Amino acid sequence: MSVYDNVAFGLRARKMPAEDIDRRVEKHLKEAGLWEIRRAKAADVSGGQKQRVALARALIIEPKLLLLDEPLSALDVRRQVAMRAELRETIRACGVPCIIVTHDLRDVVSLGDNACLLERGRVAMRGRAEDVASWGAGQE
Amino acid sequence: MSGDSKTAEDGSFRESSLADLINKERHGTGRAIYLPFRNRDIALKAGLGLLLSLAMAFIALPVLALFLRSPLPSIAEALHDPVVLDALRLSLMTSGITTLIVVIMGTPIAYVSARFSYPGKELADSLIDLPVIMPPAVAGIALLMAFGRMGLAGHYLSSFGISIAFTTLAVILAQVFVSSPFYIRQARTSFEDVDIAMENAARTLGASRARTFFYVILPIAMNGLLSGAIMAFARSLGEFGATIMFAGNFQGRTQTMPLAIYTAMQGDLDVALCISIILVAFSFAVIVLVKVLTRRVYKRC
Repeated sequence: MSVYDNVAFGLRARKMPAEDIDRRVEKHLKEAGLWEIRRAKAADVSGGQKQRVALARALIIEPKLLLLDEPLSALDVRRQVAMRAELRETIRACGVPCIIVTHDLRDVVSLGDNACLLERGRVAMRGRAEDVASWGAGQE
Repeated sequence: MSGDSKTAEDGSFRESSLADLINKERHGTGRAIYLPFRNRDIALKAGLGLLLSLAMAFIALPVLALFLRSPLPSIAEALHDPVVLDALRLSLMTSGITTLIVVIMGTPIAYVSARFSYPGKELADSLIDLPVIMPPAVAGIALLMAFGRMGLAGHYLSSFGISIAFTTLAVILAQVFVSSPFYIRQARTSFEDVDIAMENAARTLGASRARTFFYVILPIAMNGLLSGAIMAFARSLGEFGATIMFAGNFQGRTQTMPLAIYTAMQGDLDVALCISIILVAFSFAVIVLVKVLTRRVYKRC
């Protein structure tokens, strides 16, 4: 499947008319900076591009809620920094409530509004992202 | 004071001994270790090379002999022989139908076997694999006992006027019995190799189970399915034992290429050689086809 097919997948599954799909996919691909590589195969694009495709694919079906499980863990540290900033912009811009699961406190500070700290399957703490992120530091 | 000097002496002594050791390693022992290792490496490579060329010769020599021993003009002649033509037509038709049946019925079975667990799954999987280890002649007799005129199921079928044994249908049944595991095993592995995350991703995007299967899973597994199907085709093209037991050896009806070779061997070796050459050519074409097809599919995904 190409990048284009990937992003169009959810719309095609909903049997949307082809011209509507074209219009929407073009908009989302351009916003994500993927329009130039729309014909590239999924196997040929970089890790960061894959994440962008995955995000565009999830957002194009206009979900009521976005669930991201370790969205940055597959990237190397340098790409993580760039992607984190990009992810923040995209999430803010699309206005979809988002639940992000992460092990990385930098994600919490940078992406989070409200945060829950889970320990052994229980919510150990909840509050503003900054407070939860600094909790570990205060304990030590 | 004296203690200090002693430790200094000790230190220098240790240092020099360490340097000696390193020197020894570098000049003496080091090289002594290095050379035998190199020799062993060369010996290993030579041994592997010899083994490989032996294996290649063992396979290539009979094929070569087949070509060298068969007179070329008589191959063209054999292509006009009705016995050969009948056998070729029958072989291609039955193997084609067999492959179709195996793919249509085997694909869902393979997918279910790869993804779901149900009571008796172990038994079902073992049963599917059984024909691989079952000698073809045994498979033929078993089929005859089941679907022959006096067989377990054939007994009822014949009371409806349906008789399977010694017909073209029997050839196909024998081929399906023997070749289906080749496809199902390969297909099962291919489906198992499809990352379940992709399936889940497609489902979260709102795709139905069927759409997920046809647009996501099937394209990824296609490579393996194709090679499995071609393996099954090749296996049924070469089927001999079960066919001769269950379907008999009637020209134009149940006499496939391998059976025609066997029959020709009783009389004219040249004809047998010619049919063999045609079969070898087909097998070769099949291998080339698999390589080309799988490469193209791989690029497309």
